[in-house]
Amino acid sequence: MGKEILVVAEHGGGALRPESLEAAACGRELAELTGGSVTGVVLSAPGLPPAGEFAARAGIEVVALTHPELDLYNAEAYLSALAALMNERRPAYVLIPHTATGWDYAARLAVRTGASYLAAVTAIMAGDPPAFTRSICHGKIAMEVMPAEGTAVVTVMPGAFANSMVATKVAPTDEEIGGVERLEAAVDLRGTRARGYVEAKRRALDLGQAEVIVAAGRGVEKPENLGLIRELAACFERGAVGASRPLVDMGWLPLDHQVGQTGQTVAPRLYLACGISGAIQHTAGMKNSELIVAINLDPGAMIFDVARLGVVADLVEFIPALIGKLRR
Amino acid sequence: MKILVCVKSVPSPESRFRINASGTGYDESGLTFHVNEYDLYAMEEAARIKERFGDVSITVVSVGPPRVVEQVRKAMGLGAEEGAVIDDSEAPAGDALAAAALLANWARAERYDLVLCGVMSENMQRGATGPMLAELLHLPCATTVIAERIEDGRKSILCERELEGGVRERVRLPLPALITVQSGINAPRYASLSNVLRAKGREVPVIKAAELGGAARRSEAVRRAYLHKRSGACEILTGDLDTMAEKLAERIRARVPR
Repeated sequence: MGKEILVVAEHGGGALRPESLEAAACGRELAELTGGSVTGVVLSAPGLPPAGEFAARAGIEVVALTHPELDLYNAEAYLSALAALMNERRPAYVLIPHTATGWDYAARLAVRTGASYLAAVTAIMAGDPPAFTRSICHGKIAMEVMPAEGTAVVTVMPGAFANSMVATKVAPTDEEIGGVERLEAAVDLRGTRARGYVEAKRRALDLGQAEVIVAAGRGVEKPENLGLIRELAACFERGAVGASRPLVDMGWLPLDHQVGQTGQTVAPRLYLACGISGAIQHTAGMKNSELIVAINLDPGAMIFDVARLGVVADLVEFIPALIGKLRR
Repeated sequence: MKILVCVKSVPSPESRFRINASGTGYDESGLTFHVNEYDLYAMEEAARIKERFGDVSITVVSVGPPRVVEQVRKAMGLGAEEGAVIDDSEAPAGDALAAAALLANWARAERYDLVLCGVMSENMQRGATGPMLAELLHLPCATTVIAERIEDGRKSILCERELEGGVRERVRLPLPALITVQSGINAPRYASLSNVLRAKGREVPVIKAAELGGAARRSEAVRRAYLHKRSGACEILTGDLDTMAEKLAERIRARVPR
């Protein structure tokens, strides 16, 4: 096993996703600790641009694995191609963004190649070999984990590593930039077929327009209590109602109100998180709000980590009091 | 059609966790456990497939100490014929690979047509056990499925996966296959009294992990677990309800006058 660190990029139809650059930043940090080298990997159909862009923006050498069946993401295609590459290059680490695409194949890749697997790491701890930090139990507990011996497949939590880009002009095609090695991918689909995307329904509500978002979470307890949330949002000229995923899953509010990784990402002047625990799936979608206020009965809730102001109280009692003061 | 639903017994996320004696995880004493929420969606999806096709048998399985039989029965109460517990209390499956290996060794001979898991567990939040189980059973796999339809002929399953921003990606898997489901794929039913009683009456076999043979390769080792320290940047308002409301309203109006 060598010291190479492979970083697998994620792209949507040729457009490089920022999580790829974050994973590359993680790779560079790891390389500094281990004396290894970082190589990017891009899987795509022949002729698509992401390999050159990844090399230029991450400032690393890139291996472009190409095959017509890689025009759309397909777990089996990624697995067969990456397993073959890993078998050839015997890397120390394979870093993959912890996105819905990444976690779809990363654990399987580890099993297929006999590598160990660490999921959703948020930091690297110096050591020989380095350890990784990850959270469990809705962020309440942190763990330092070590991979078993041999190659380690590691998924990198989005937002955990700075998206640091090398400031170079982005090249439109591979040919215009050095540092890209093209290889034909060994692909075996085993019957799995990518069938494209479902057309997204137009959103009726654009939370990005709101100046204030009052968001409801499970702490609201009953759909009847949503009236309080609406009343509070109505205290502001440009207020809107948001929701964490569980409320939408239960059908209490339509999908348009959902804030978070699989909903909308917002950054209003004021975000009032009411009865929201603060799981990363939610906070990823609002943590850049200018002022975050949390109202929650659980003083241990992770929302108090992203909030600047907090109230530990039952929102059913507190919100009416707050509305009263705001209306004065 | 034979369907397997894998469920996990997990502590409530509102729990006040304490670090265990070995410093590698949380102390389980005093915690209350329930069926991992995502696995309830998986069980409901299985029940709907049974309603659609009719000749479907559903088995629920869980890896854990003997107490997880309670969660297995709870899941069975939503409409499963069989349940089983893989008791790993003598040597707890320390990571996703260990749990997946136990499930694979147990499930392999049964030749399930479809295996359903929740996308991740509420406690470990890795989403790894399902995909690893698929790989060990040599099954095609799709994760974070928000809609599925077994196609006529029962040779394939068309899935919609939910990506960031709510974008949905379609993939067709040949059957047999394993899918992990995302919350919101359906609306889980309340357990019917008849199903609950039937689940109560059924024997749930407990298989000791050691009987399933082969020490699984461990994928990761936990060096240290610790309680997350509050960043301290949050100002918690004090006083009675009225005082806190007053203080907060003031701070809010300073930022958003209208």
